[in-house]
Amino acid sequence: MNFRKLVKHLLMPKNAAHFYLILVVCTIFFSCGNNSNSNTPANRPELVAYPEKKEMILLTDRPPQLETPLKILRQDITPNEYFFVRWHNAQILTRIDIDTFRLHVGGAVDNPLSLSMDDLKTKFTPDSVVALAICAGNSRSAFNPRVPGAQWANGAMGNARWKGVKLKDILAMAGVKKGAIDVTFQGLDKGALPDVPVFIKSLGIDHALDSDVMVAYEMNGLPLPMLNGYPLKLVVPGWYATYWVGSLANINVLADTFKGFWMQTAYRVPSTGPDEKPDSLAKVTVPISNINLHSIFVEPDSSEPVSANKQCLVEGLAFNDGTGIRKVELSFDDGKTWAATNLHPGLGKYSWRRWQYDWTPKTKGLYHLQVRATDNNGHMQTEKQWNRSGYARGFIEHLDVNVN
Amino acid sequence: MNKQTAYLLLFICAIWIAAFGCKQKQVYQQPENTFAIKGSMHELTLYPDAPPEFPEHDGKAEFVSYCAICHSLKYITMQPAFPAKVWNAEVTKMIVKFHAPIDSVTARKITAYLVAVKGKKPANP
Repeated sequence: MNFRKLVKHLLMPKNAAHFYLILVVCTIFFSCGNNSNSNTPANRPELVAYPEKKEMILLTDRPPQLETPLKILRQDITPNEYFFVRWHNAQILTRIDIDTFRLHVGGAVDNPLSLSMDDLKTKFTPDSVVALAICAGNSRSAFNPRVPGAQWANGAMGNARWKGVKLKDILAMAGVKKGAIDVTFQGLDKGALPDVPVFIKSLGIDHALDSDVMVAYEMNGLPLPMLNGYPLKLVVPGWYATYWVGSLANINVLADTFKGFWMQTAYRVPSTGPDEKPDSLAKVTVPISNINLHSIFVEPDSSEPVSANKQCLVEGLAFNDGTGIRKVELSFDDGKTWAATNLHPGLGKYSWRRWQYDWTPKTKGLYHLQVRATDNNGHMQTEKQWNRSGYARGFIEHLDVNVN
Repeated sequence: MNKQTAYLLLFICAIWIAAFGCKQKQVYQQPENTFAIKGSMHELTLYPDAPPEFPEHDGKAEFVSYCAICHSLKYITMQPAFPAKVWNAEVTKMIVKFHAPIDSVTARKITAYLVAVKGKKPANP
């Protein structure tokens, strides 16, 4: 075959047509094959629907950390299918026979217990509370300078109605021995390797015997989603969710202070409060505990247009450890002047509180909004705050609104 | 069309199919995550996501293998850029606090990789 002759032959219209047709068909056939799988990293959606969940923001898949889209926080009760998910250990509980599951209570007690779900639901008076669950690292991505950790925006929080048994009733049945100091809580999750510190948290005995701490078997009237700790979750109203141990299976009373990793090393803040400077870190730290006073915006968001001379609802949430919010104020001029917002009552002491303000901007332009809460002790949010772990965000939140 | 043309066209098509066919093998098929209740048994199946893509640089092999032992590499991709000091502290934390099975030579390689792909010059060195 003469090459030149061949090319000339191919380029002749009647031959070329066949050639190009076959080429096009092959290309389409195999391109479709490649594009139909949309799960390659480049085109993976940011929103994912995990089992028992609707579309949530994926931070990590293993172990799962899912964030609630901000718009969901416009509802006073956060639905189970949108509730945030956060696990520490890679091997989360994925399989359980609920009939053979037992909650073990032991250690410095007179009668060690092995309680079934049926026991929990029938042998104790049910308790119910609406309480805000908020990750200690919620809003971490807002700290400046940035710190490593789960890069949450404001969606690692949710308000739910929890139903279960008061921890103090369980401990009463077990009979706490004199001299008890701490109580530990452990779930059925574990690390990828044997040496990884298993997730165990502790509460002081006085706190554990407080009437508000609960072993919850229901969330918003339903069994907990598996990703939120089915079958049982410890509910510690007013304290950060690091204590709200999921797939709870072991309660142990100790005659000593618990020295586990997740209390002694992780989840600590400066002893004077969750605020320090990057170049002079606090020398003394304590385990994080009470929810710090904070307020956030939930409306409008950057995708919602705001027009001049038209009423716009500005809305958000304010919360603390249950000691209560006195007022929430809004600024439209970057903190120069402040106006009182309409503060809703909330669904109980440990629920967040919704604040609203009907705003009619008079002119077009860029407005710098700020929101600040004051608690019942007169403590007001400050402009600046930082700590090395990005915990307990409480510094004033800003929102830039473009009015057209 | 004559025989010669036909054979040539078939040959070209074969090359084309081979080229596209090879590409298809690299696509990750995400299995479906599920949850089911069968009697008293509650079961969740979660599959890891397709691993994120990482740039080629010294230490990449160590990074993608060791760091993924205990957790998804999304733990790293979701971070902003950090100064070398911060990455060094994170890698040290994994080894000292979480007992990651990483020797000091590998640790240095991993830290260097993180600094190369997610490094930032500190504002006040």
